[in-house]
Amino acid sequence: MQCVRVWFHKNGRAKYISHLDLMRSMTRAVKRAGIPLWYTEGFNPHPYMTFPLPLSLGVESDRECMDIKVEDGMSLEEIKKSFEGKMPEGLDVFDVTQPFCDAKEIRSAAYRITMKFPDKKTAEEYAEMSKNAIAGKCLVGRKKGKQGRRKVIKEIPLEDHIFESDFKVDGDTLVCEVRLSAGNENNINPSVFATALNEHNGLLPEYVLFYKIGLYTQGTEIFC
Amino acid sequence: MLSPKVENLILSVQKPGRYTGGELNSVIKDKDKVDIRYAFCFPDTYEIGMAHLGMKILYSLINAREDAWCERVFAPWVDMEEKMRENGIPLYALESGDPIGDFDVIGFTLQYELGYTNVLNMLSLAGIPVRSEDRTSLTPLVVAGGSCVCNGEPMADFIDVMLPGEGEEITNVFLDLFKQYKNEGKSKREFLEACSQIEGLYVPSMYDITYKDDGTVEKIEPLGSAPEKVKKSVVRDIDKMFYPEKFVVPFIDVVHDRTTAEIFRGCIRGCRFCQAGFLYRPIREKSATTVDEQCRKIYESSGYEEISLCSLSTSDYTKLDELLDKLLDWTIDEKINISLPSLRADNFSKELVEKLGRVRKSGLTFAAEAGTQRLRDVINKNVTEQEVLESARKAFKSGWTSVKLYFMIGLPTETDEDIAAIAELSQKVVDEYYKNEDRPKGRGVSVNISVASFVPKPFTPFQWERQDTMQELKRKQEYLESCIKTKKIAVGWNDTRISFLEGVLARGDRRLGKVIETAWKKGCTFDSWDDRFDFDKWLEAFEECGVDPAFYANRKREFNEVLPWDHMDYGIPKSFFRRENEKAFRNETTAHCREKCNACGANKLCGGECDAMRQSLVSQKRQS
Repeated sequence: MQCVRVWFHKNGRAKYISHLDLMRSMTRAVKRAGIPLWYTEGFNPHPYMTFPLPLSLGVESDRECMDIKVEDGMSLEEIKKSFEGKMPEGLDVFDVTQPFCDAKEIRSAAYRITMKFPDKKTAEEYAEMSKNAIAGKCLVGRKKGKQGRRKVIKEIPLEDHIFESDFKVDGDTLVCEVRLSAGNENNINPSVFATALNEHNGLLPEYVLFYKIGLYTQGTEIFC
Repeated sequence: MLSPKVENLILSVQKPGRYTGGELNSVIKDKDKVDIRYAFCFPDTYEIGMAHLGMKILYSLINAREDAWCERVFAPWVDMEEKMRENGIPLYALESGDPIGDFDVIGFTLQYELGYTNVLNMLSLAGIPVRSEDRTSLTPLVVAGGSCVCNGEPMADFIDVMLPGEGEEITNVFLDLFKQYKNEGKSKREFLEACSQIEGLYVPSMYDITYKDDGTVEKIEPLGSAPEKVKKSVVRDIDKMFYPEKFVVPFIDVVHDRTTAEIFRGCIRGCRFCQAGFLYRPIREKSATTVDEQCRKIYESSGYEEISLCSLSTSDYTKLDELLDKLLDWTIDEKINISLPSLRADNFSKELVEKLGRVRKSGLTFAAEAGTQRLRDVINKNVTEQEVLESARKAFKSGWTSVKLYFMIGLPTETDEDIAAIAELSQKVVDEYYKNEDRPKGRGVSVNISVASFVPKPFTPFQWERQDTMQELKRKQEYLESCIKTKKIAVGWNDTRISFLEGVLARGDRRLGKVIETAWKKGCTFDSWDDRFDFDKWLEAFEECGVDPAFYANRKREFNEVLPWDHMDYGIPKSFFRRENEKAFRNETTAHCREKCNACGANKLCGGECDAMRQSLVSQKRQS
């Protein structure tokens, strides 16, 4: 039995596949690909499949990964080849590697957030206010959480979770690149960050697009 | 592709995966290279519609044509509908994201009567006039198929062409004709007249219905050269019939998300309440090799973890053992579960249970339908109490701890004794569990009984019978509840108001068209959903249209009454149903088709041949 890391895109309409649905789709994709999955040996055997860091709904990415356990006998190249033509639209597999880093080592993720405004002036205004907010450490993120059984909104000061950020205005569009805390603890969803900006700036973009650039371990060491 | 308008709002509705498309095996074509754009509409949510086998078959069949592109459309849930109307987004097809108002053909499948308001709502969301007479050009043409089309009269005002019977062959005939008329620039009227000349196509507007003073139908008159009787379509050889090699694999969790293989069509049983048992006659089986190959192809292109063998009565398949051996050969290694719905309690073998238990245990359901032998004889459900208990015993011996039983209340001739017997039979099933010495220690049994309210349907021996009123059904439900003494038996009911409405629409005539339209205008959609069903609005609609619903549901018809569906020919003459009806009231049963041919006449649909007839001759010869 070997554990392999499968790298794939999640683009276009595929960004609307929730994590739970993605797991089911991937299990089926592996079966279609004819890859001999290793099954757990319990009462109800099931394949082993985990995602080091699930992607939020509505976010596109060109570097997603999942770990699966496969029976011995296939090389990484063969596994990669068997996925060809077996994936749904927007979910192509582009590489299969050994898992070098452990999922626990993930510390941050970088995103590109594209916001469209009615005009250039508003976009610039929004960018300026955002920069000030980050410098002044006054952004607060809101996350849905649970206290016992009760549903509550948790407020998280974002200053410790924003590493680098950059704002560029191109016409009526603002492109923000930001690296946020990620991983098992302290995962900040990019939409939480964007909503915090909206609330602080008192402005709402016409639409927002999210794209994940990559995952990092310590500093800007790429997760692989 | 999704339009930017849709993308903007899609994350603000429940289950966006219902509206995105882009699933594996969905078919994308170049719209400029096809002659016919076909929107296959299912008048319910994505999760329900994606389970429908007929849609999978016709989707692949139409897309196998180079000149046509078939796309899927489902009814958006209330939250999405609201957003679409707010933002001026017309109903679009999932594959292209294009508004279906621009399509050539809009095809609905009418699976149950309570989807009718959704048909109107989907048309209106697409910006298409709901009434056939208000759509004057050839496109978009609105067509419908599915089992409800056997009496599509309540929908006659809205649908241009109906396709009664099986769609695998007639769909291509229809599309060829459509393409020819469209290319020649012919009018809708010309096309409809041409359709009415083709066996298997029904054009409601080519028939004139007159009514008597007492409200019953006086006459159904064909106009122009339309035929007196519209024959349903039948596929003679279902072993060689088109079957998809690929299923669209949804991302989100849908009902019955699995490989489905049809093993036979039709039914030999002749249960007198069952519409499907008569609509799909004569019985025709696929070979085990064909089914095995079809399962394998769909598995390879989908990766589904379950195979379901589909038919009206799985254990009546003569090649079941052969097929299971073939399937188990490869499914065990692939960890694929096989499920057999619609098993009968009287031929459920221990070997079968063992074979199925080898992979994973799924639920077991037995349909007893009625509590006493007398009533089971009336409905011709030829299952004895001993057989039900024997099946339960076998199931418990093989490790099951929960079984489901199906019953009906409101059947013709039913008394309180019959209802009490439902509780007694369920109790006996519970007792069987405790008689089993090998039962798992410390584990109780659960017997779930699902008690449906009987709705008389066209093309059954009970098509003339009155349906119990809501009050009668309610009282029977309460009485049954009082007869159940243990928590080990859990009862599930239907809403009696929904059954009533279903009964009205099932045997209705064209005068219900305006009622359906009025109810829809009042906001009725998704009527089969308990949380959406608004009975008061329906009652208002009946009132405003001056239509008495009880006339359709609770009235016993005379044998000589002209029924609204008398011009539809499903291969079985009224005289057969009448004979069966009279036998029912004498508590007489009718043997199943393989024991003895009862001359229902359906064999004529296939040129006189019938699988069951051949087999019944063989068994008779053996006996002599």
